Amino acid sequence: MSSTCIIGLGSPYGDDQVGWKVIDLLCARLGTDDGTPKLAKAATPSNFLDLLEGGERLVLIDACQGLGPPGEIRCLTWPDSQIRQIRPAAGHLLSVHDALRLAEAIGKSPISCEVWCIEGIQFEVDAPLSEPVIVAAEKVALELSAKHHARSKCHA
Amino acid sequence: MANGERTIRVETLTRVEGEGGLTLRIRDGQITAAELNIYEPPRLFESLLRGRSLEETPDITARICGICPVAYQMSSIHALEKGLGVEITPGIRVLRRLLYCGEWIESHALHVYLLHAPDFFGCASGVELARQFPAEVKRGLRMKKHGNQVLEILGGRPIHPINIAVGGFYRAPKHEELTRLLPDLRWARDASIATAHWVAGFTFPAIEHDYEFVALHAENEYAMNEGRVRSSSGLDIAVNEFEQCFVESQAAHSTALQGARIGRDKPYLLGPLARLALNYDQLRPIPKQLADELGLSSPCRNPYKAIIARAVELVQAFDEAIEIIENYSPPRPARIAYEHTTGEGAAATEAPRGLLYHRYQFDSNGKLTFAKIVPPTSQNQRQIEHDLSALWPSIAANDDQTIAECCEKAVRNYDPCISCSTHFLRVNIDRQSALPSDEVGPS
Repeated sequence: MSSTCIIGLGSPYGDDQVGWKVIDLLCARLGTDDGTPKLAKAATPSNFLDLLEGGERLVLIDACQGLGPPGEIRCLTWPDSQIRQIRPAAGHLLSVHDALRLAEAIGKSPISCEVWCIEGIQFEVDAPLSEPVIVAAEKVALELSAKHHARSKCHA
Repeated sequence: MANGERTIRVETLTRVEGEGGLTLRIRDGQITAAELNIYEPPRLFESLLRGRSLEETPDITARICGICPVAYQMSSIHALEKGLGVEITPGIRVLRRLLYCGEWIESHALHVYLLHAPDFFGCASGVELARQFPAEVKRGLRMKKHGNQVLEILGGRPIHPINIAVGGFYRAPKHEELTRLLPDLRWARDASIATAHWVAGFTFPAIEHDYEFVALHAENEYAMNEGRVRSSSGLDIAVNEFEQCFVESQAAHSTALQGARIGRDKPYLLGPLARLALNYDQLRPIPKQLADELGLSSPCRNPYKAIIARAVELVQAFDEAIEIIENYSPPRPARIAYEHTTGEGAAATEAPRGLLYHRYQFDSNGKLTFAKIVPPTSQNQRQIEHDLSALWPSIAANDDQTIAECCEKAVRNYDPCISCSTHFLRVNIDRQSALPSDEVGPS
């Protein structure tokens, strides 16, 4: 059974925290037993390269803007072209798309990658997570933990 | 072509983070101008700093660059401390050198592997290079990661550190926080030596320029945080004399000021080649032996070989970081107290790309009244233009696309900044001819 690595991408700014929030919720739901997916928070796409070993199922959670109403959830599967739009390369940072291509090139490619995008509305310094985004984070955490339990049962 | 004129434009470059471009003007086969077109609006940091407290300065100036924020923090802090009369302890001083080692590591590793090395293999990107050299690129990424870890432990986070204060550090790391890095840093020192051997084996264009090298120089160490400003033409001045010898001026084609030596037409070169040329004897034994083996003992004037100099500095930085951590005990106090007073101070440090000069004036309430920042990329601009002019005869016979690519590579030798390199891609070519328009063939 391939291992699963779930990474929340984010920053401390408003709804950009949502990736980290989902990881906190999953930590509480799934605990740290053997068989629990690897759960991690990352600030930039290049950070998650360090967390990959190759061959795992990778799940990324990130905030986004422009997909729909606040709190809207969308799950994209690599290599969906919309993934190019997530954390696009800017300044000194790799985009999610580039980081996945680089992982592929250096033999650390995940066996699959799904990206959960949650629409945010406020990204200012010191802003809290908005209500719709908190609700969405809980939904995503619930769905990911249910998937994990279903997969565990299949392989039990 | 028209009137024997030909113009080659590469659109997109920057000052520190953003975009600029490049224009070559050719008349009758001879280059008449090579211009680095920096068109990004000025970022106005000097004005933005006026009225802000001096304690905010290092955190604000760090935002000038995402890859060398430590350089901006260090130059600003040293300048402010000079103005305040703050004397830091040896423990704080050495911790600042370790912080700078972390920045050189992450910056140099990124440039060597993802930005510069692809040029030597005809690769359009680091990802493309990684397909050909996965083990090497993995090695580079891991080295970069360890540089970022040093920054994170000392600075509180890997980019735009927040633990750096006028007078020292807000918090000194515990002994074990740093010593747990040692196994990785020892691996990385070996990896950086392997890197130097790898890049020294690349095929380099046989091009040399008569550079005037400028860098900080210190007698007892490879200068990073302090030293005198020296040049290969014999200049040897204290940092507070910098503005008596160097000036910034506006070029019509650039929103970034260009650095120049006062009273001299010749441009000057900053960065790893200059540092190595002026501070060779100050290299630590391991990188010095390596540099000897790689033939760098006499000043290297081939700009493409800056990649080797950068690799040698990676070895230098890892080796010094290891020694600092092996001998580390947290400085107490971590920060020297001071009183606000009216003052003025200047300082220069060695950013990965070269000498970075800051000067500030502040009032008795600790508010800045004046700020001047002279970044390495702006000082290297004229030298880049000079390199491009000198390059022209050897590339003139090529098609425009090839010429544009050669020019991009010549610019990337300088590691102007990641966004400069990665956005330096769109090419517009405007050919003009002396022939009547109806005889102009397709270009």
